[in-house]
Amino acid sequence: MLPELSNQLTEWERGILDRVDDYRDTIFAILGFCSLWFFDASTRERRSYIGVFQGRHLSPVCKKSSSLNTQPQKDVCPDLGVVIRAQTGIVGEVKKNFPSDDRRARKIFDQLNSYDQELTGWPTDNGELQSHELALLVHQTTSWAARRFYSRGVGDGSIKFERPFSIFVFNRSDQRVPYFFFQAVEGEICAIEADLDPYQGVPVPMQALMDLHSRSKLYDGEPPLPYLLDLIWEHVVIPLASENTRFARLRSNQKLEVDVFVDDIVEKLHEGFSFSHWHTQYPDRQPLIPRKEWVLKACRFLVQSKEARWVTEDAELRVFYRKYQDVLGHFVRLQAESEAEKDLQPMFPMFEEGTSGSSN
Amino acid sequence: MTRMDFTALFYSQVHNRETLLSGLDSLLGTEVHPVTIVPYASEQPPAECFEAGGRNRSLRPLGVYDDVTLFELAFHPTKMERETEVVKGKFFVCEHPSFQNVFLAITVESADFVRRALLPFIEQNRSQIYLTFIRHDDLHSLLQNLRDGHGFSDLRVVRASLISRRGETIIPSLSWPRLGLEGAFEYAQEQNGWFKSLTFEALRASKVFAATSVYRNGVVRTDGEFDAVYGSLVLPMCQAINENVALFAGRGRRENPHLAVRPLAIDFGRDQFEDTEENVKLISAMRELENASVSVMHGNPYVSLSVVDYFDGSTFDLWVLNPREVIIVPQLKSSIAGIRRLISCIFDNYAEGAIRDFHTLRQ
Repeated sequence: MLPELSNQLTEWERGILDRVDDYRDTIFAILGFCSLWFFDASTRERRSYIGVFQGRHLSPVCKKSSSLNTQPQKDVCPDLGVVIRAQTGIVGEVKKNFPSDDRRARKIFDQLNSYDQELTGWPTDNGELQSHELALLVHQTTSWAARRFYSRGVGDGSIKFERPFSIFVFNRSDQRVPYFFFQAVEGEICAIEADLDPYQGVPVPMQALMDLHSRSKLYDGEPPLPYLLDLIWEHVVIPLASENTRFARLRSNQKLEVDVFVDDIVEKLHEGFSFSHWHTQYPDRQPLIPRKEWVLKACRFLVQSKEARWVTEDAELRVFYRKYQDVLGHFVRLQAESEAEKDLQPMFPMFEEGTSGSSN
Repeated sequence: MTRMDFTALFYSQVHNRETLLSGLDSLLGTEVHPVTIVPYASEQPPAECFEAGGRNRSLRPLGVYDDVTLFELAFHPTKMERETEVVKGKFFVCEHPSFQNVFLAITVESADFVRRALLPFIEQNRSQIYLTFIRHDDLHSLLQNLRDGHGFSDLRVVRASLISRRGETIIPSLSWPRLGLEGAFEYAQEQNGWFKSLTFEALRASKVFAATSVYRNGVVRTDGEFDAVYGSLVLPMCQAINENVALFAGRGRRENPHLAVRPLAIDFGRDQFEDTEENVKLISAMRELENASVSVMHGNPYVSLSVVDYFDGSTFDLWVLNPREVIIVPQLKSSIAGIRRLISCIFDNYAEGAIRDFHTLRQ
């Protein structure tokens, strides 16, 4: 392989791994922020009167209007939600990398603005709450952009929330015991529980979130492709392959054919790795995560990479299972190669299919 | 004069566990071959957990008595191998008297049969069978108990397979130290190492009463003092296997209500991960895990690995989130054997620690 190409591939791989890291950190942020409310540090127990959710569809309450042509407003889908005593709530968006360009920043605040109205469909018996407030969680490294955009918007009147709104920054602190740190740095947060002091900042040790993270590897944001493929391979394909008597003794250059339905992949990952364990009491309005379109995209990538073929287009897949020494690394490399193929073909006409070997 | 074949006679007798063990003690005085004992655990009875053969091994059950099964195993070397003669021998399997699912595979065949036929055969069936791992400190205690409990003046170590750690490098070495028990363990400490196996002579005054080998995976071989070795080494190893079975069972998320996680922790008893260089060493050690996938989700400053065991498809998340511990989170599918292999890999290639239930540790 040409050295330029090899360096470029390594760069791509690094970029993909960074995206995987961002995705996982977003999950930690969702878990950590919600745990500030549901976890009682003094008793080390979960507070029974706190409900939490991720990716739930909430519906704007349509006020009676004089106009007969009022279109029903679209449901909103916040990254996280906390419900306190079935009375008050917090909905939040997590943006690990808050954009510095105004257009994209505006979109995020527009999204938050869509939560700033009466909503129904909360995880309560009647689906309603007396009040709720809004929070934006941004990583410390990009928090200045969020705060500047917000201050400017408040100043010129382009941002105005009727409900309490706050900006939280979070970061991962790499001390002896790593933890996620959350601090309210703008606006006001009213729904404060017990001794929680969000303005002072609250550290949440990562090991306190480890159990939850092991069960919740997918939220309602689309995961990086290799990350999703790694989950599919390890937790859907391998269990099926292990039913074959040849599994344990399979050599690294041998394959096993494993047939799997796309819907089964969705169901198994949803059951094992979504936030569904948070939604057992009020499962309606919770989307099926991973979304089928993400899984289809992953399956098509397997087919394109000759790791599988369709038995029935977009429904049943025949995977050519092989043992990889580093499953995630393998799919990261495959995606990097695929990106390289697309981007470098005009630059390197000799770059043809099959000239690049995958890892393992 | 025709020499009596006591071994053949022994095999031809009908045994239960008691007569088998007492018979072995007497047999050692008459036969040239030592007794080799392999304690193992399996959720299946012997006839089912040993697959009848393989590429070049064939197994035949010869008899099933009360709680003892006798097998004949033959190893047919391929043409590529230096020694082409078929290696054939017999071994007994008996259940431990009190620990359910703990068994002893016992043979009085030659070391060649054990090395080329029996142990590889057990290895081959390791998705059904799990041996144990004896930590270095525990091995020291067991040998001290053997010495002190049976009136031996010393256990003279005549052959030692040592694994030492020099920085990031793991160095295996073989030596013939002829040191007393304490001297041998001091030597291991000086080398920053741990014993993979030891062969020692059990001495009373200066007379040798038995030559015994003990392996980190629980395999024991002795040519004498069977009762002492059985009571002080084999039975505690069965106990260790039984404790591991209890600790490692039911960890897979599919075995738990609501797919809950039941993590384990290896507690090193000191700030092992004070320096982040240790993360690199741990990851490098994990890459030694045989027939497995190890993916680094995060390597520094905290460690998060995703591990697949290709022997049976068990999957694990592995974390370092504080300086003292490695945390193992068995995922949807997790077998006892898979957990044992993973922990063995950490103990063999990185460092030893105490294994605990992660949640109990924090209560």
